[in-house]
Amino acid sequence: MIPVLTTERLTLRAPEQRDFDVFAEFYASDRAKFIGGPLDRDRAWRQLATEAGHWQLLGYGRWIVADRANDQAVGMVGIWNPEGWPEPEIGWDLFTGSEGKGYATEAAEAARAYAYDVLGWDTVISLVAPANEASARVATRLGATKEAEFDHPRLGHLHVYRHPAPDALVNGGAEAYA
Amino acid sequence: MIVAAPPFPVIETERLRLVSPAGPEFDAVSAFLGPEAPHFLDHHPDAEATWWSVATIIGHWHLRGYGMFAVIDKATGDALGLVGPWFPKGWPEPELSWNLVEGATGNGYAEEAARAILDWLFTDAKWPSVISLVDPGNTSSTKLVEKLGARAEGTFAHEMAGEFRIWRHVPRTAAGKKLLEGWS
Repeated sequence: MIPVLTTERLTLRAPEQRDFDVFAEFYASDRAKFIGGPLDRDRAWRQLATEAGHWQLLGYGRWIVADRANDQAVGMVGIWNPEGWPEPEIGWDLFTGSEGKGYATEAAEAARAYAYDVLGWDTVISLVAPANEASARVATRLGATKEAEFDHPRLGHLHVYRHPAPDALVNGGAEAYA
Repeated sequence: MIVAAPPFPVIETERLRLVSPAGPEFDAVSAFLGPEAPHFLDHHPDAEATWWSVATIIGHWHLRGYGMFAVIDKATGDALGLVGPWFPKGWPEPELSWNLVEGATGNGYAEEAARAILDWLFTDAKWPSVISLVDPGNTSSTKLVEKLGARAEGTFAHEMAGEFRIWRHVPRTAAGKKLLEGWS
C-alpha cells in the first residue's frame, strides 16, 4: 500500500489514472529531457504504471505530489531505485507550470523524512543531470552535496548528490541550510 | 471460484490460484525477479527490462483497477506466469493476455487460467467482450486463442509493440456452454 504524506501545501499520494494527462504532458515536453524523455503518451502511461509498481517491488517509491487545495497533481517526488540504479535516490519532477514555487523542495523534504524516519535509512542520494540547473538548486537547497559521478546506459552522465545524514538535519528538515 | 473481493480478487481453478501481483501477499520479486526466479518465455536478456516490465504490470492494477493475474501452481506454490486483462495506453481496447515462464508450458495452464479469467470478466466484471492480441507468428498462442473460441477480426499495429491479429472472445450463452462442455 502506498502511504499518504501531508506537508504545509502538498499531499503526497499514490499515482492514479486521473493524473495521467498532466504526467503525459510533462513527459512529452522538453523539460523531460533530463529523465529519459521526451516520451509519447503510450510510453508515458507505462512509466506512470511503473511508478506505482515500484512500490510493490521495493516497499517504497515515488508519490504524486498534489496541491492540497484542489488535489491537482503538480509533480512526482519520492524514492526511486529501479533495477540499474546505483542506490536509492530522492527524485523530483515538477509538472508543467508548477515550477518556481518551492514544491520540489517541500515534497523532497517529506520524502527524505520518510526515508529516514519511517524506513529507518541513514543515507540517501539524488541523481542530477549536469545541465539540469533547476534540479541542482533543489539538491543544494536540501543540503545535499555533489560527491560522485554516475553513468547510466540510457540517461547518460549524472551527478550524485548525497543528502545530509539524519543526525545532521534539524527537525528532519532543511531549515539548517536556509 | 472467486475467493477474494476486488480490488485484489483471487480466482481458483482445479490446479491454479490466480492472484493480483499488486496484492499485499504476493512477492513478485521472488516469483519473477529474484536470482532463482524462472524466466518468462519472451524474456529480454537485460534484467532491467524484466524489472520494468513486472513493475508496469503491477502498476497497471493501480491505474486500471484490474490487470494480469499471477498464476500459481496450487500444489507447489510455484509462479507459472501472468495471465489476464492488459490495457496499456495505445491499445485499441483491453485484451486478455498470457505470458508463462519457461518450464510451465505444455500443461494447459494458460488455457485453464484464461478460461477462469474469461468467466470472471464476463460474469463478475460484466465485460461484454474482450480481445486478445496475438503475434501471427506465435503458433502456440494462436492455437490457444482458437481453442478458447475467439474469432479473428482484424489486425492491430503498434509502433512499440509490433503487429498483432485481433481475436475477440464473447461470453457463451448457457446453451452454448452446455454444447461445448457437455450436458450434466
